Amino acid sequence: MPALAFDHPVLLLALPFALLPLVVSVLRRSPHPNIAAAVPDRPSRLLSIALPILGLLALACLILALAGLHRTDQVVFREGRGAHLMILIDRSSSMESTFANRRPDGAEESKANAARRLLTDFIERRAHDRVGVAMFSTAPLQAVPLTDRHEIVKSAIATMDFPGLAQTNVGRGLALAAGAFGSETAAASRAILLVSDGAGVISREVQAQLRDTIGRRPVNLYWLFLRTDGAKGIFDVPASGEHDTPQTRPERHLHLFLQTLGVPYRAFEADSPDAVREAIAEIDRLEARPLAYEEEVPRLDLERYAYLGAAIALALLVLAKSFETPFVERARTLPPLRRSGA
Amino acid sequence: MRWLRNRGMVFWLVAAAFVFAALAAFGPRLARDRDVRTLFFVVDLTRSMTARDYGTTDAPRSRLDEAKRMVTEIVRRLPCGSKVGLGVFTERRSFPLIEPVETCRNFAPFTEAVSRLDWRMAWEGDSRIVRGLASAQTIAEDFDSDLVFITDGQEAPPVPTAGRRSAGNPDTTAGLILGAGGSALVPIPKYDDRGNPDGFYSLRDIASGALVSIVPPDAERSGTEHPRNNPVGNLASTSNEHLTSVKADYLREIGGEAGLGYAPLGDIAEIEEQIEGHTSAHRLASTVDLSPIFGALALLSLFSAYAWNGLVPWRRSPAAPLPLNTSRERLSS
Repeated sequence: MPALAFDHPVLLLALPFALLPLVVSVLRRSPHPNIAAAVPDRPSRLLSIALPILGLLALACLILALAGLHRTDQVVFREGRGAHLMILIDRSSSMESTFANRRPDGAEESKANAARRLLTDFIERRAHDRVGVAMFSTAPLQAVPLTDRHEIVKSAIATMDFPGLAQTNVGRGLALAAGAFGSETAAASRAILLVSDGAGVISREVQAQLRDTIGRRPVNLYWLFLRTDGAKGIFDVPASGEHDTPQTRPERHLHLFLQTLGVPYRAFEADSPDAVREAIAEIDRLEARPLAYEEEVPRLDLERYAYLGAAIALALLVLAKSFETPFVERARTLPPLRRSGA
Repeated sequence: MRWLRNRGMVFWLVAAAFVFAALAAFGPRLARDRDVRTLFFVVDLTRSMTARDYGTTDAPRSRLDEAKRMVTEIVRRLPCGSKVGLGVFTERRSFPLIEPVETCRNFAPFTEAVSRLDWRMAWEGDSRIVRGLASAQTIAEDFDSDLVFITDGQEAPPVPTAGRRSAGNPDTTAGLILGAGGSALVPIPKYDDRGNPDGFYSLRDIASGALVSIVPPDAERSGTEHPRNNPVGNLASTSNEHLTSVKADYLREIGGEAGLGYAPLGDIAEIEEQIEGHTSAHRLASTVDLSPIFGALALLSLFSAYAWNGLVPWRRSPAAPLPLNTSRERLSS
């Protein structure tokens, strides 16, 4: 049952008037009550049923249309080539400094700013992707669910211009992003693009949860690590004697953890806006497979169809009316009628 | 010509109905300006918003559920071309999630984003509404939009009895506060570290979280309070801060300071009125659909056609076959 709704349901009170054609004929009335004299053949019997029904249809369609008939929550199937892509953005406050770890000035843009600009370009190139945006800092925040409306995706990414929150709770952010892929993404390519300038320790429970979620619905993982000058990289193996724990080297250990998930994973270390652009171009190249999906559209107006239905019914009525012959104003005397059986 | 002359009134009425219905079906449009708004919704995600005082006893809904429903409803009613944005409030500040976007093209993802709001997104348990409101106003100003701030007015920790900071900048943004919650006091659900329900907040929880400032000014003299050992005095016997109801007067008050209107969350008519009065509209050139007018004309014509046949008194003299009497006698014999 499609979800039908009306803008002005009170007009539906007029619907009983649509029964009027069953009571009153649209045909010309005759002063001669001699209809019984006509032989009731099949076409005229059909016509005498069809005409009131046409009238009823026309009236009902007009009333429904005026009441603003429309369908809500309708699902439309679409098809595209690309991927289901969750962009997971680090909104910790360190993203506001530049790659050189300074406050942004006119010459150098902040990491958040560079990421925002390049991600927006990236979305513009990926016309058929379904993209969602999640953010994380102290807590994970779902911004936009997977959608093909890139306008809203871009406007979620644009909020990166605003100050971020305190910490980098990357584990829960990843769990949120991994859980955002519904069953409709089963056949197509799924990817998470993590954009961050740091990492945090992922607790055991969250690690187990992530393994579980990703094990059930594998995703391609991309980590775009915005490396600040002087910060330790993802790939650097600590020299002997240095501490090598998740607490001292969270980035390296997040990288090690992601490698163990058993899904395609690539990390890009970018220490300048140009490096970010190269990394995004690489991801652009890697993620392209056909995908079909459905999306709810808010409202489909059916008024037009109702008007069209009324117009068609009325056209037939007009046709019927135009075949009416005028009454014989001055008839000749009919020959006397004789009963055949007399 | 003769054919035309011989058509009766009913024919012309049905024909007119057909013409109007066909016009309505092909959708003539007229250019006309339309009022559109830019609204930035900020939803309070603090714990008191999970209090369930909407819906029926059998199927209670939390304030947050109601807030999500109403945001969707408001967005549904905005004309195309309006813009809506989304943010959340907790602790001391508001945090934008979606910059204002056009409503009609982005309706599905926007409302889905609204439906995904969850108290678990809150990064702190505190609820400093005046500061959160100020930060929401700053963001709304940056977005060049008007603010719709949805909260229940429950401050946590409780507002100092010595007074609170006043809400500021009344000139820069317009908008309104929507007060969530019922007027009766209800308990606030409590959740454990993993987010599982764990009973309700008790006064002890509130007191232990509020180590400063909720002590009445005369507490020290009354001997029940000690700055270090018993900083909240005999709060337990006097306070009901662990229960929550919509603080409509308080929200009206800070709304007045901040230059915002107020409406209760459940009342869509009142909300629309307040939106009308407290937010600015931009004119946008658009078209208006004329098909309802043609549709109404078609309905009127068709209805008249039937009315003509059924209701207008029979006025025409019957056609008179020439030798009327003789033929009738013959027929009847």
